[in-house]
Amino acid sequence: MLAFIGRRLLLTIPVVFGIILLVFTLTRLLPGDPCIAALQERATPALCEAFRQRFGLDEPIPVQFVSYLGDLATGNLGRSIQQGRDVSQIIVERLPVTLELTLFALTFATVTGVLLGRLAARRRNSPADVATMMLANLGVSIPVFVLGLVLAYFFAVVLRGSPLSLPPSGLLSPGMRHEDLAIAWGMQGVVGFPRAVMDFVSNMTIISALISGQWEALLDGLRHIILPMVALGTIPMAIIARMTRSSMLDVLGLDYIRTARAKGASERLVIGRHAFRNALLPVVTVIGLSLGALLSGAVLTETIFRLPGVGSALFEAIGSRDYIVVQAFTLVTALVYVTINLIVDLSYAYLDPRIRLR
Amino acid sequence: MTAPTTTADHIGAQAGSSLLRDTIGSILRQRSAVAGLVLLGIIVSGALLADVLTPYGPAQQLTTMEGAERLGAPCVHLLGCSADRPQFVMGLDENTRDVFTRILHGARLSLVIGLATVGIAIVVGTLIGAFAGFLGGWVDNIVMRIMDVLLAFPALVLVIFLATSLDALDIPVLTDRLIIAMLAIGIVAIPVYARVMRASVLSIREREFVLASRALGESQAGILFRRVLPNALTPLIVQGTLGIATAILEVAALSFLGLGAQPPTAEWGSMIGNVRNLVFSAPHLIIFPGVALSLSVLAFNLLGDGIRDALDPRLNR
Repeated sequence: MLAFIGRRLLLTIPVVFGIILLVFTLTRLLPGDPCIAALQERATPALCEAFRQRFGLDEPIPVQFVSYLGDLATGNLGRSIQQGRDVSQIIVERLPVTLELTLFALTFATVTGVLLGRLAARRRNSPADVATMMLANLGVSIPVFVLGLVLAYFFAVVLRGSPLSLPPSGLLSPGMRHEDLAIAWGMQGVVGFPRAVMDFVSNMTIISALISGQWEALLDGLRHIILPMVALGTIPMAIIARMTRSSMLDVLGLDYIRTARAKGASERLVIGRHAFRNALLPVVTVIGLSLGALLSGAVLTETIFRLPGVGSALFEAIGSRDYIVVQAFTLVTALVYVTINLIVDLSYAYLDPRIRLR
Repeated sequence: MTAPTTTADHIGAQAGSSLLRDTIGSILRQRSAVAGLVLLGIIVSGALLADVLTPYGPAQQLTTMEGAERLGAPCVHLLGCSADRPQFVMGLDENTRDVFTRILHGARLSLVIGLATVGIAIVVGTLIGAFAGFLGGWVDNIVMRIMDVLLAFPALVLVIFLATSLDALDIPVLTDRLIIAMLAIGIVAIPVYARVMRASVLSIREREFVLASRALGESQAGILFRRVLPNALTPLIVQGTLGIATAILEVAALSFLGLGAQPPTAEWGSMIGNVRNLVFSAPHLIIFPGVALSLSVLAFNLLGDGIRDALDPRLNR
């Protein structure tokens, strides 16, 4: 297993290097003098000369690349042209919202997708199977932003006033109080890294409300996340349902299932114990891959539901042509994606010994 | 020796035509392929007959027309809308344009976008994959590592990044944001086809019939185009059909974000993006383009799935 982890890590390094190189190259190709962007009207030729020297912009490109790598290693992602703040600061503020949304959407997609796929495989060619697969085909074909807007319209306008109505925007209702963890736990005195972690988690509204026992905010937060969760999770849900179904059908055709049936095991035992577990293996890979769809879809979902995550920050940056922010977010998203896929690959190898022995 | 040759030729000719007929037949036996083709037929005829089906233009503002009001809801006489009002089956938009007309013209645009983007990606990807697979060695290694890097990004995020970068570069030829968006989507799609082609090249390169044609003195290019490419067609067609669905989705998403087609172009994603704040007051402006977009994507997805199930015997259960 260790050898496998080592090999897999080694394979990741060139990819990560390539990602950074691609983003760096396109960044340096872009027009617009960083000096003028940073100093604006104060930028005189003499000042700019000093500025370039200070930030190493007069160095050869390879030297610049090395210092760029150094910047990345220390978490320096540049400065937003529009907001005049460090991009890393914006990301730390906004990432929790996106992480929470992605987590909920992934859970929704996995639970619903696996259950539907299992149902469809067990009743193959039944109306339930046909309906599920039609739903899955529709699910992968509806764009996130269309589904999001239609859901918002249906639950906020059509069902307005009914108990089923749901709020179409924001993290919490206006006026709903949600204390930061440091305050809720009476730990305002804590500083440094522990405080930073607390503040980071505080921005995950539902999780922080749950662990600090703010029940009203928790309920309100849950009501607010349902629509974005469904909008974002539907495409991965459909993919997972299809994968679970075909994987279950593959496994159900194997000899050991026939053996299990022949020895008189109940259908419930055959499906639940023997087939289902083994059928889940390819599903794990699909779950990892669908994180790409989730990270991409978060841009659209957060924009529609007005959630202050990195996705909506990216949307704002596109609107104001804030390239530094777009590049930094691209880089961070790609690195998160690569890391998650690495974890998925490793867990896959852990679950299925045949992979690591190959 | 004459008779057997003739018979063999005859059999060969028959086998050729019936192979094609068999292929089409087995595709048409797939429910999803038929459903996809029917949907696609409706969309294509709508796109082709746009000028016949509606009297308006896609950018024509009907401000002076009597009974046409801004954001007007759909009015269909058959569904009880009073006959003295002009008929707008899908209503009017924020600039008093006929939504139905814009949807039909949007279909043209989306079909062209989907085919063009995938076409570029297939040609470039196939060439890259073929050369990587044929040359092998360090060329193969470097090229495929570059493809790995492109695949390591979540697709839409990379497309957004490429599109904003290309936009900012101010390249003289690339001034139209829609073209930029298509280019970005095409580039991001290349690795898929490169991989498919390379895999086919590697698996076919050492087969006996390729060795035989090499021994007969066929050139490398001849082997590539006459022996390897036909054998790689099935996965390329399947990937390409599914790829059109992805391309249509991504262009719409980019246009929705303001990076693709710009107003007043009748493009579904941009139509939705322009009015997303009006969803609560004029939902028809979201729902109709949304349905058109979803059905087009669905059509190509169904068709792609159907072709795969028909042509890949491993999946025939």
